[in-house]
Amino acid sequence: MSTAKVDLHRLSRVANWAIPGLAVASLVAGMTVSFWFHFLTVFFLLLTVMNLFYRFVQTRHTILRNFGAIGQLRYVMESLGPELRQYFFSNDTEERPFSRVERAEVYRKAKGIDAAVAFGSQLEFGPKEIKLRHSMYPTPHDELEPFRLTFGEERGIASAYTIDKPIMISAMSFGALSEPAVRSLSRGAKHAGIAMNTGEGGWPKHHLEEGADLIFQMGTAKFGVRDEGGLLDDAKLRKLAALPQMKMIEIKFSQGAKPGKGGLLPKEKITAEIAELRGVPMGEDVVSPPSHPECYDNASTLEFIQRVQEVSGLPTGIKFCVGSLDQTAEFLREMAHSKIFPDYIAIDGGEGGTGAAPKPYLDSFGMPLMPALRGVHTILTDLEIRDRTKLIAAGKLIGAAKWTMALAMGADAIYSARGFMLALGCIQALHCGDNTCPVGITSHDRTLKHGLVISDKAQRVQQYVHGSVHDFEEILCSTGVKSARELCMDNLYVPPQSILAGENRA
Amino acid sequence: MTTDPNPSPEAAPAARPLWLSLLLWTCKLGAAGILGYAGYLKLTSNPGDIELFETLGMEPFGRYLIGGLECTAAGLILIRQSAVYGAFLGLGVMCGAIIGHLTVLGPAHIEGAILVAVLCLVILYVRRRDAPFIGNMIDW
Repeated sequence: MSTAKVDLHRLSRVANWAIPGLAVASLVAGMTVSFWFHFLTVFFLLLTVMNLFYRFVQTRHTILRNFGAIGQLRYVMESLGPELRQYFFSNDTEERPFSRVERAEVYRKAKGIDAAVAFGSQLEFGPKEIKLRHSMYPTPHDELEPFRLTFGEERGIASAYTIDKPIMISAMSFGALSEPAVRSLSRGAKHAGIAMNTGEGGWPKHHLEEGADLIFQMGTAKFGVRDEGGLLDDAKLRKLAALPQMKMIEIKFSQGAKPGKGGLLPKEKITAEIAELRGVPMGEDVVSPPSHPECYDNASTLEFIQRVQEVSGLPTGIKFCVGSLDQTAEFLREMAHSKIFPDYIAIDGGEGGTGAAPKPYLDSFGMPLMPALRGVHTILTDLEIRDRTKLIAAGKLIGAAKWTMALAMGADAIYSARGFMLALGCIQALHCGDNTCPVGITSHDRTLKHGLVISDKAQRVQQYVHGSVHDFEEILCSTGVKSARELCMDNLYVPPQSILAGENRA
Repeated sequence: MTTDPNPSPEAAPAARPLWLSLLLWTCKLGAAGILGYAGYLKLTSNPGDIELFETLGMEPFGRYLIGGLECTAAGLILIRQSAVYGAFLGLGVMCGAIIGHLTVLGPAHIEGAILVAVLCLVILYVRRRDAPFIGNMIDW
């Protein structure tokens, strides 16, 4: 029994003859019936020329060479695919990296509207789902101790920096983000009373002008503090660290989006201002080296950390994505041996972050945040140096429940980048790297930045922090602890199938 | 080193030589001028154009439509981002004009339409990489 089947190859052959045929037919109709038919004549004539170009001139697209203009439909459909899937076909929990359910929660927080949802969770609870444990006797809210964490207290430095909320804005440079996005975040961070990481973007002009407390990130290219040979220029670092807004310095060794590779800013996104602030040419991708030239082994790395601490006079942390816990343990042992400790260690999950990155690096490199964080915390504890530094967790921590889980795993504070992008109105169009972000957060196109009104978005950032911190405090009360410091693995239900199982009671 | 040692060939497009820029602008001004003037005459009911469109059997709506398209093409040609679309539209209208001369009106005055069509083709060739659908396939 034969079934109905569309033979696209045959259809294209018919179309390839039909297009010039229709041009001739329209010509005849125009000559005999009405001159109006010549509109069709011209249309089919030009289409014929285009079809010939597709089939016999261009060599890049096999489909177009074989199928002609009909084949163009494939590319049109493919280009519409992401939008169709997002708006019509994907369900509320299956989009990546953040599902609609997750994003909607951030949007509600940012807009300051009621975030309660009814009739049960939309998530499916698989056997590996980690959950928070509530207590039979929750803590009364007025007995909850305020959050307080001081970076640099271990070294007793005068410039130690204290935060009173667990969340900070993670590293996103001006360049990766547009000017209004940076300004909105910085202004929002100032109003919310949280610190903001500048990212690896050179002199943080726009961050500074909006007044937030800043953590200056020194990437492997050292934009903003480099000498002509690409090494650290002490004088520039000293000048930058002397700014009253500059609260901490962060040396980035690797990041979750592309562990083992330096930062990348695609040439499409390099404006004259960005080139000037970073000291790079326009018209070329800016690729930072994969490592700091000063750091070639554990000892030299620790020496470099100490040098930055001494030159800047500020709390100085390091950030990396864990590749191997064994290698990390070696580094931490050297730390314990030399008694040189960074003021914090930020662990970036290998889940991929905001940065533009080659796909193998986004998808296939780096340990996921939770086992990496737990691993580092355990090693520090075993070496009896857990009290000599702080741990910051970063990687898809966009809500208070995830923050609490990371803190229970061993973190002291939380970094989030994409959570704040969503608060700014990111619709997860996944165009961060090509300067066509439809909401202007990662685009320098004037017409796309137009929609991002700084005063409005700064308020969204503030409300996102306010709402999430409120949730966090509620969660702490429910778990029965009196402060975030008390959180531990016992506050988590970790199923036996999880890689983290065995670290607490089932 | 902070920059990619092997930038892709498209990284820094070669600047257009002066003679080519001059040629492009000559063609743009020429095509836009002729198209704009011809469109203006049609939209303002120039007697010659009324007679012409009566011969074609398209008076008056055909005259207004073609006049509008000519003026639109003239405007688009002069704007950098839309020049290639304007040239494409102008070429289409001129193809219609040439067909009109060859089939109904007779060959007299066909040279104007051919001239504008050639000017549009030159603009399309110089700005070929901006062309929709085909521009990204052209590496010459």
